[in-house]
Amino acid sequence: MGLLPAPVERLAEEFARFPGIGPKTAQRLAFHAASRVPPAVLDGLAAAITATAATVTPCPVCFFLSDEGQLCAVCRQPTRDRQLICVVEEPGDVLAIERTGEFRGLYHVLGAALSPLDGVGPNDLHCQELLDRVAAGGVKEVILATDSDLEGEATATYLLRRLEGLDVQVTRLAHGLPMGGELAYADERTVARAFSGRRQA
Amino acid sequence: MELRLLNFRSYPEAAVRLLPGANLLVGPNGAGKTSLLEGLSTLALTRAPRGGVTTDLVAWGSQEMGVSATVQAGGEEGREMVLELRWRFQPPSRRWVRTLRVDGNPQPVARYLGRLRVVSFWPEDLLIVKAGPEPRRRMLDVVLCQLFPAYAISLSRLRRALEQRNSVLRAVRDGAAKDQELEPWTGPLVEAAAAIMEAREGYLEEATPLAAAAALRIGEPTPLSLVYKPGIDDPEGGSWAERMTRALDRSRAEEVARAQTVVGPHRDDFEICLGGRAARQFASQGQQRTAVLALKAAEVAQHLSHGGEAPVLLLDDVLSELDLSHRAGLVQELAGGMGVEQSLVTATEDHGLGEVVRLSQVLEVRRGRVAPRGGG
Repeated sequence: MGLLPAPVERLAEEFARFPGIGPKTAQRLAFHAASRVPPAVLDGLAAAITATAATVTPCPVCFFLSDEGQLCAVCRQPTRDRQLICVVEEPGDVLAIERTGEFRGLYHVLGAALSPLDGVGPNDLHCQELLDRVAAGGVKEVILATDSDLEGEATATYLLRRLEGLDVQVTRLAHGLPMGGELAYADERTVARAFSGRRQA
Repeated sequence: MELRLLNFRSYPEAAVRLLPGANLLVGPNGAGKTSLLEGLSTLALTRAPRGGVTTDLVAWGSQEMGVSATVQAGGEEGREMVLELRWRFQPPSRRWVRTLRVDGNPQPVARYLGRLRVVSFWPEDLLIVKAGPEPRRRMLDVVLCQLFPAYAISLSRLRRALEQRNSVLRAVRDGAAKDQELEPWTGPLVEAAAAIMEAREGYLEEATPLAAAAALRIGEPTPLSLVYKPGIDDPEGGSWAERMTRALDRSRAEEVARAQTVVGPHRDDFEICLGGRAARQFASQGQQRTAVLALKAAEVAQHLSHGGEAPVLLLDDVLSELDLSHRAGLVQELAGGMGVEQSLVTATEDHGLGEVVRLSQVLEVRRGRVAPRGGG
């Protein structure tokens, strides 16, 4: 205690706030920054953090990460199919779907999944904004791509009910067996889901 | 089998070699005999075996707890398999994180459960006939999670769905949420509840003749039966999902008023009957103990008929609690009536057990140290 220069202590404390980083890792990162990284690289890191804080805002349409109140990079692309909206929980989910190259529509990032236990109700998600986007017209299909855990499924059910009155097709991402996985080793729930979601061969 | 403990209860570190057949653990009270049995059943069930919070089993002040065992995968001739359960405290989230490994590879719980099976007999089980419904539900959950890993998934989804749904009920009661916010949680609740109730009903149906046969062997001529009492009030019949859905609809006013889901498997119970009458009210203390032994024998039989792997039988200090005739009955079952291949029995003295059952070894447990009697 108190052996380290205050900025190093402070840096370790700040690192420890991030998900997946415990106090030991945080301390190792702080030591590394203080003793192994050239000052110019640290300046670059500090500038990146400052710029993130100053300029990154949610996209006003889909709530994916964007710059200074502008439309995000996906919403700006003219080649996107604007009749399709894929609804996800977190910004990271957008990248996961983009990596597949399978989807050419737009997104809608809810910000989280419903979890009344943690005080997250429908008004804490970007639900109303989704309904407004659909009500504005021109959307043919909404794809619910929330997680397959209890909270993700409940969120999908909630959105399905709210979207029912609107003139739009609502679909849910299929759940099934992992690629390259053996049927015999999959758990029963996954196999059951894969069965109920089977399609024409 | 070798059982290894790390920061579990009073054991900072221990490794105990258990032989096939009957292993008797003797030692004074508080020596750490029970902790060894709890360690093995925690490893089999992935959670505290006797209810309560699993991380309460962690040795005081530790941030990590582990139990592992090298077991024979397919009986004695089969290949060896290493099962490992580890809990680690994560300071940033202030949560304990559990990992399960088989031969060093992390596995989801659905692919882990059932590889090591236990049937345990704790002193409090002697009261299971007379006790409230909670220990009887736990008894069903312990056996069904090991028989059907999907049951364990349904159980954890049920708990989560109830917690989430009860939060919404609280908000609805307080005027902070609308009725329609309940619906997303009702679907998963019904799905999990139906799977659990179907499994429990089926288990009790299958267990009845097995328990009755065991009771007869122990010397109880009055026929024993197990009657499922589902925690839903719905006389109309149909599938469990339909019954659960109707019961929820009917109880809406009450659940909002109490901010609690008042129907479902969390309210389940079953009645243990002798000659068609509730043993809880009408049976003598001796008959009630016979019923408990019969329930345990039925558990063993169910393991053998579903999937075949013989469970390890864990008897914690129950011999001293039984009168002579019940002790003889239990020992007979232990000696092969049940089909058990390995057992761990704790006692403060050996009760002459060695004269009726061939003991593979006697382990002396003193202040957290375990050593074979006669050895070093």
